[in-house]
Amino acid sequence: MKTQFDTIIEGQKQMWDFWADATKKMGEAITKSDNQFVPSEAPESVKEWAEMQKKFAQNWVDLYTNNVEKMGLKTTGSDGVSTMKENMDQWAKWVKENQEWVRDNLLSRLPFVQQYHYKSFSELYEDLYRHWEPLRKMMEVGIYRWDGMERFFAPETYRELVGKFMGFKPAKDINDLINQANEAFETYLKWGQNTPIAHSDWANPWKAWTDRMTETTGNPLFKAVLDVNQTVRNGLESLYNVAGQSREIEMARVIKDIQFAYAAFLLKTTELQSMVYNAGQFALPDTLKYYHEEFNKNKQLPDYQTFFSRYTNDLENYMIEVLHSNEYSTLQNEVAKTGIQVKSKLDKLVELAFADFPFLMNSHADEIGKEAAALRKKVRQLEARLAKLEQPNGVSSSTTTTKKKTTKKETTSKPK
Amino acid sequence: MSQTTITDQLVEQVNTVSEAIRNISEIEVIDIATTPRETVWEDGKVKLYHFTRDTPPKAKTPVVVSYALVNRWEMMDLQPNRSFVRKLLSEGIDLYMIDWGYATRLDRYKTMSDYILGNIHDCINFVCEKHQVDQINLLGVCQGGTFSLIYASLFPERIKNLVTLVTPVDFDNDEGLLFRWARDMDVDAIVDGFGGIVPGDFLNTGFDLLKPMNKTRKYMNLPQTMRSKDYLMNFLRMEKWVADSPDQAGEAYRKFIKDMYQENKLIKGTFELDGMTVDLSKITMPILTIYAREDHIVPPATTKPINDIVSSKDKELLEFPGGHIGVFVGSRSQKLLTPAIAEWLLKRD
Repeated sequence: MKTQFDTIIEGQKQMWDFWADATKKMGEAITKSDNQFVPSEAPESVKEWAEMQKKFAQNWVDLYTNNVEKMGLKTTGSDGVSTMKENMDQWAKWVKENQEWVRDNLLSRLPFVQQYHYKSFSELYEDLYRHWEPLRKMMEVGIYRWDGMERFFAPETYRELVGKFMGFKPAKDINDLINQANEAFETYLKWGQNTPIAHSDWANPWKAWTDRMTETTGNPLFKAVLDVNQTVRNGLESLYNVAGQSREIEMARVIKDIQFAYAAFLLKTTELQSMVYNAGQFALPDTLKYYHEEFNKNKQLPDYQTFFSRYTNDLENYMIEVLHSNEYSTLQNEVAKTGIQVKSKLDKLVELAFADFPFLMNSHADEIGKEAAALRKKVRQLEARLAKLEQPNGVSSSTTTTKKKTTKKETTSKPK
Repeated sequence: MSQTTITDQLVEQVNTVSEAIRNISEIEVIDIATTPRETVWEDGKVKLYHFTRDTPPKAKTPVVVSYALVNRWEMMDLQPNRSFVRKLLSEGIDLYMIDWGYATRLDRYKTMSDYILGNIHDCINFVCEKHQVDQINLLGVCQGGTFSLIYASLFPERIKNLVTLVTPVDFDNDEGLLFRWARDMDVDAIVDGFGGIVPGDFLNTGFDLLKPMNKTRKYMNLPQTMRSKDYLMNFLRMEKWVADSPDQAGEAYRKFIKDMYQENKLIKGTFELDGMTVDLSKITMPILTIYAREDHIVPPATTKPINDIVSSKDKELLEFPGGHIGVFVGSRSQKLLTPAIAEWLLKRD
């Protein structure tokens, strides 16, 4: 997996090329005389450059020698670099290894859920970097409208990129997908509601329909539904083995519900993503236009990180506008609701399958929880009444000092 | 790009990696909430902590902190040099903290009444008894502040002074995205669908979307962050806190969303708890209302009306120049806010 550290590496390689080129040019500016280098022009800048090189070399050597043992890496035995090429290769190799070590060790110290976010960020940072050269060109020559940008940057690629910013999985041909899915889904819904099913054939009509729709529309939604269908069906085989006979049909109905719920979830999710993509498409042109105008003024283009940072801000502004809309708010609720329905129905399915087994299922635990809550409330009421009676003048319970558990424990926390 | 610039950047990057390796290697434990404390009371998953002091407190009246159910109280004691708790202790305050614990499915029927009339009430009674006083100071944070307002209006005689920090009271707000989204939320479907316990990760997804690029910005700065061990530890502590998001007891969550976000009952005077109507005008004790100017989670407009609706004659509105989290961990919190709270409390002790 590449990360922003790898991107830095790539940037460093480019800079190294610059540096090598600069060295060559610098060499041309120096004449050799009696085994001594004599600067023929710009002596101060040469001196400064040499100082910087020395500083860089020292830092690199320190990095190399100090971290080999720490990282459990072997030395190559060629520490005494003799040529520029060797020096460059070894430097790049060691910096890369160091950076990988940093990335891996940082990841291991992040909480699990944050590791996912960090990896996603690394991917999108890298993805956009792949387009860095054309983006620079676009900023330089002033291409910031989509009709021109499409030559460098496919809308699908951009959509995928925006999706990664928001943590979405990519979808293609979104409007078509929504329209087709809506139409087909509603047709099937009407049919499905009036069709009696038995456990032996519950999946067949659905499979036939999704097969047909996948073939005729090429719509990935139906393929996804089919995948769920198959997965649930596979899972069902073993559940049928343990389920009571009378529950098979009920289970089949729940599975049909799951499929509908999942299809609805996919549909709503796609609609939500579409809304975000549509808003996000304006951000990149804005960023490119801004830097083109800056380039016209001062003939300088930003480095990748500066560009990425401004693009992130521009994208966020458009996103926040969408997030504030009534449409987004309504749709987000529907996505959450349908997603949770799938989970809820799967829970129900598991309960049905194991209903005759001596397991404490969630619904049983819920009954106990409910009773415990009612008892807790009753105890509180009784305590309040008792507290009133204990007061000499029967004053309000709020002025009493009820006794609850008063355990004392020393904590393990120590001051740092 | 000049040669010097290129070389500078190379040197810089080598330094970055080198320092990052050294700093990461030296990390042993990502420790948060290190101020010494004792657990002095507990009921089920809920605990009351008393923070240990080296010197006698300047204030006679102890302070009980009611944090939000969402996220963990450790934000107030994230690290020694950025600890709201330590700073209040150093200013002479005797401090207690309610830790709500981690709700599980067995808590799905735990209600707002259980939290407010049960846990908060019991904790306050315990502290009163321990200190042989009739009143304590109550400091409520965010949702815990809303709970504190409800408690103080039902039992005003128990509260000597009330401090609310970034506490929403007027939920009819379009500026804050959470307020906007919660109005459209089918909370019954969500609570029931999740089996009565709303996952913390579900809530975190919503929080992340409030400023969708915040994570991206944070990670972009990571190479520089890692060059300083202090900054790296700050980053890792914050990541640890953010990821530690407790699940929510379904019935309490359902009522909070419906009655507050969707129907705005508290400020309208129609909110009820166990058959008791909560009237915020019954709050008569001195009150300090603190809001954060750049708060995108609880916008100032949702907080400021507190002082308009209570009957307290001694009331103060304090603006903090920062965001929701900055109130607890920012340098300005240490320099400005915590001393101001302590001074306000000491004057009214």
